[in-house]
Amino acid sequence: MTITKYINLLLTAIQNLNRFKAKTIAVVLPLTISMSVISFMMFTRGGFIKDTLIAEKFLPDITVQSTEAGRVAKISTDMIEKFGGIPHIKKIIPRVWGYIPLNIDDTDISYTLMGLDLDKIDYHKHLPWTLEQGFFLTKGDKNKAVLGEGCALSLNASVGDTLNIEDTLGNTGQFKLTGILGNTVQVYSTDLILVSIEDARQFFGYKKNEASDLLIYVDDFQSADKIAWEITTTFPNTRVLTAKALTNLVIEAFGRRGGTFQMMWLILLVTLLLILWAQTAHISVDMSKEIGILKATGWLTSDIIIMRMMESLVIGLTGTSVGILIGFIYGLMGTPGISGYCIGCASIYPKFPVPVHCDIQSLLILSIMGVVPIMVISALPSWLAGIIDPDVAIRK
Amino acid sequence: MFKELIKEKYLSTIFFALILFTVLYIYNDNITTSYNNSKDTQMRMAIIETLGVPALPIISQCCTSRNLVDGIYARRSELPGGYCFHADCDVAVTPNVIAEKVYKLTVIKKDK
Repeated sequence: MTITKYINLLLTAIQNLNRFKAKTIAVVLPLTISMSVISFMMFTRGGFIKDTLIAEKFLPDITVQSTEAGRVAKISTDMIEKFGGIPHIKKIIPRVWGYIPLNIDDTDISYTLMGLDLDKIDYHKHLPWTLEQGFFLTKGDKNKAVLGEGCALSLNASVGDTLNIEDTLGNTGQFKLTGILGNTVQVYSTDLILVSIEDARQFFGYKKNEASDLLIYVDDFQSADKIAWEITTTFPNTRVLTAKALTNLVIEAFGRRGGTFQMMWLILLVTLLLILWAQTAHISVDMSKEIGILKATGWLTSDIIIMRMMESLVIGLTGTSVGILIGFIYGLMGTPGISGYCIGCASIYPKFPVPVHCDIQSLLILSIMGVVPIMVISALPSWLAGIIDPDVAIRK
Repeated sequence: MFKELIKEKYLSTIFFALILFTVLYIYNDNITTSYNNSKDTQMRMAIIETLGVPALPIISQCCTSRNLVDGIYARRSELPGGYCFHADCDVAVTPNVIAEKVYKLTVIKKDK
């Protein structure tokens, strides 16, 4: 009996929404837009975070750089021997890298030239998939380079071409292009010019025993923090970053970026709530008469309040569910138009499939944020409508 | 009575949205973003593992990235592929504000 009563109240509430279509659309539409905006931002953020969490397993366990006067400086590869005495260290790979600041079509761009120790790096079994053209660097390669796709597109370079790089001092480097990394991996590689570590040393003027950083791989993941701590305390002039720390930083970065969007969204939601308040607080003469008749025919004040609250619930659920769906689809489409903001700071944004992910917590938050404020804001107007005196209302 | 409820377009819209979302969610979670099933994810991880890159690339230099008082966040650009964490970088990084000298990079086409 009780369920039947509530279903009837729900049906009446829906009929009311259908009768006042313009009013309903005026609230549902902005709510849908508002929810889709916050949804795609949360889902895109979730996608990058999920990717980052997966990446944690593939990152070097510890990255060590040298510091000098508080700044990051070159690190001596002699440190490899010193670190070698620390238990559980499996492998240490030196890496040389630096920025190549360029001005292309009046836009300042900074590419990264990275020198890899081709004798020591682990070639992941899926590495050939990442190449759109040509081949990756192999042991013994000299004066050869592999480009990220963004870099290759900006320079209009293809496999077989030769890159001629000259720094501000006139030092030059010539690299024959052997491969171009594909679109899918642009998120990590779009700005890269990959060369052998010897070529990078020569171009940047590093000595044979110098590197930019050392990548440490341990045989026991659990001991990474302990080893990092040991390196920090034993070698004070080092900057030690664990894979976990790097992962946390990326997660936090996307949290901040999401936070900015949440502020914008909050303004949108408050505006929407004000519209809803204006609409529900104003009870027209017709509506007033209707409520009067309903009460005269036996409806209780609580029934009127529940019916009005159900109207808000249906509006909230419709706007929220459709908004979340649109936001998710927009995210799956790669957030066209604003992907740059979602990805990060850059004046040229790589175009690549943006990972999208939503977890139960995000869904719950979105549902609460979409429905609860609408219910709360309509509570007082619903009560005001419920306490209308039927006699006075009918005589209006 | 339940039939009447389902016939109501508001409720059917909600149900439709929820069902479609669930289908997309399951597909996305198990196929698109899963390491075991997604070729895209496997490719991204192959790059990370081979190069040891920690994060997203910074393509344009950020004026604030050298600000030492910002500690590790700003100095993240001192990692290859480092990512500047300033939320307002889109404002800070505009063309022609960087006073650094630029390198020269030319491409000699293979057929020349």
